[in-house]
Amino acid sequence: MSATTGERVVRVSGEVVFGFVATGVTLAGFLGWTWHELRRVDMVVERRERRD
Amino acid sequence: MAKDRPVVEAHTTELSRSLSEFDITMIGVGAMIGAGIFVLTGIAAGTTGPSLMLAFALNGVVTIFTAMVYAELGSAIPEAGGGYLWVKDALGRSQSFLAGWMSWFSHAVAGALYALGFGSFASLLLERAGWGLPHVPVIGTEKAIGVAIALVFLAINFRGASETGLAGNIVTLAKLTVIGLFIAFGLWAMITHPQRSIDHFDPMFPEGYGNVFLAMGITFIAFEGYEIIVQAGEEVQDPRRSIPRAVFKSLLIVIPIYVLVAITAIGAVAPQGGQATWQFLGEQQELGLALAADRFMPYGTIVILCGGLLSTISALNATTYPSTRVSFAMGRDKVLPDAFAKVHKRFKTPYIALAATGGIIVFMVVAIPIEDVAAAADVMFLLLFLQVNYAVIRLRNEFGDRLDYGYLMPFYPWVPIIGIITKAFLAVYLFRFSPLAWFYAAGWIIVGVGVFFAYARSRVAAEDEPRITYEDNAASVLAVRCWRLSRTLATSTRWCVSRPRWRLHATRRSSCSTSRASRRPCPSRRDAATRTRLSRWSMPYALWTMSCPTCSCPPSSASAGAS
Repeated sequence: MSATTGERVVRVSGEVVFGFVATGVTLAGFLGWTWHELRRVDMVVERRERRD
Repeated sequence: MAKDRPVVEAHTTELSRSLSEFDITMIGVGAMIGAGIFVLTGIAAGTTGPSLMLAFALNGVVTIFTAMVYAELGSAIPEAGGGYLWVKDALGRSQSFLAGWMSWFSHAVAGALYALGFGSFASLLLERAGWGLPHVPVIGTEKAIGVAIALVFLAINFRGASETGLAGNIVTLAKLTVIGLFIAFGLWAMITHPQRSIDHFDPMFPEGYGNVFLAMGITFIAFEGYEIIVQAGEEVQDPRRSIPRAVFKSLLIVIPIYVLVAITAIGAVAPQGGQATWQFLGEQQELGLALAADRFMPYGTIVILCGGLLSTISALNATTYPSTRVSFAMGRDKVLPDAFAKVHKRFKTPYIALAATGGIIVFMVVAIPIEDVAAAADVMFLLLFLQVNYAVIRLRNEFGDRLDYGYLMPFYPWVPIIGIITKAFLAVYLFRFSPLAWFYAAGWIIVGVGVFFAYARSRVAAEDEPRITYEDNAASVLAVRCWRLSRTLATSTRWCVSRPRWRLHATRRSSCSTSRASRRPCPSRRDAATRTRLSRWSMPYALWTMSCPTCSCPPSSASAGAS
């Protein structure tokens, strides 16, 4: 608890912040790219079906 | 429209198309969630510490490069055999034999690992419940249970793909529920004790930054489930759409779960005696996660052991399946005895290949120290993916316009090139973890090379013949007959009319015959290297110039294209 404001305080080291940020960014990049590729599957198939 | 639409002399043995997109997604998820979570989390946490979550996330990124390759080729060439067939089409028979050999054994070894994991979990669970089994002489209780569960799932695989899919779906969904409970209780424990949870992550890299890569290599086997999805290509409904979607969906499900499990395992557990959480997990090895769950979850160990049992069952099911299909495909290609290609009349499953694979699994469960062999399987998976990444470059360059893709990867060829670099890096790095793994891998490869030269090579020479004919075109029929005559006269020229080239020409209904050919010459005509090779033998070259097997474009355009 903070002595002045009474709010709960959590101390976090820089290394921990770096680890979580790196993991978060990597995971977000992975999820975004994979989701985009999943959408592209439908686009490729639909384009091919329209052409045929 | 081309008059001489190719008619494929299809495989005489075909598998039933009974698996839906959901089924193969579950096969992929089931193959991935098993070893990674329940068996390898403790070992990997002991190697790299709290940065295990980063190792899982990075492994996801490394995986996506090769997953895109598998999605592309799985949609274009959806046949049982997967990577083995693609390497054959792109790199030739000796390379493909090696790929199939490695794929068959690595999956079988992984299956043996999961069977042993099941035996370990079941033994502990029964012991906790007060129903300890009597010691089995010679092999021990755990291995006896492992053999029993392996035989059960071999029998389920023998019953057929639909039963396999149903059993696998039920097990995988139940397992996801257990993992979900672990994550939910773990996050709640972290929220209620935030400072303690954060402290467990400090230091984030206790063993140095390099050990993150080591953990990636150790857990890599937990990310190769997409490879198993494409093995089912010949038994999937609408494979051009289903296979790439299942590959990406399974990764979207699995990778966040891995990261969340790593976070909760580290953050929620409070070991006694001031020991760091990651050290506790490392000490407990494959039982680390189960014992950790007891600290924040009611009946945690029992629940996780049940989940571990389901996971190893699911993973065993998912690895037995491709191992069988690869050996089936190799038997169909004559590089293994013909019996491997036999399909059961009633169940439509390759029962001889299944029996042989079962023999390997049971033998390894009983006789071989499985940890080092499993690490060797890891190395062989990486080497197999190296080959496939290279194969996709060759296939796109040579046959890209003729394959009927359901998905095309972006940034070609950088995606497979990055895949090659990252896989090679991880494989080399694994030597630091287990030099024995590399020795085992090298031993298997040497045995495989011996089998190829002693048995498969001569069989290939005798059986190598294109399985295509052309109808409604006398010239093409004549061409095929000429080819057979030339094959008899010049046996030494088999490489110059390699079967993959002809098979691909025929089996993929050409898109260039409808639209692209009207805009530019058929790419096969522009393949100067092939033309040069063929010109060394008159008959194959005559066949080559007689009519384009893909779009029947006239020789004049061929000359123009070639020049």
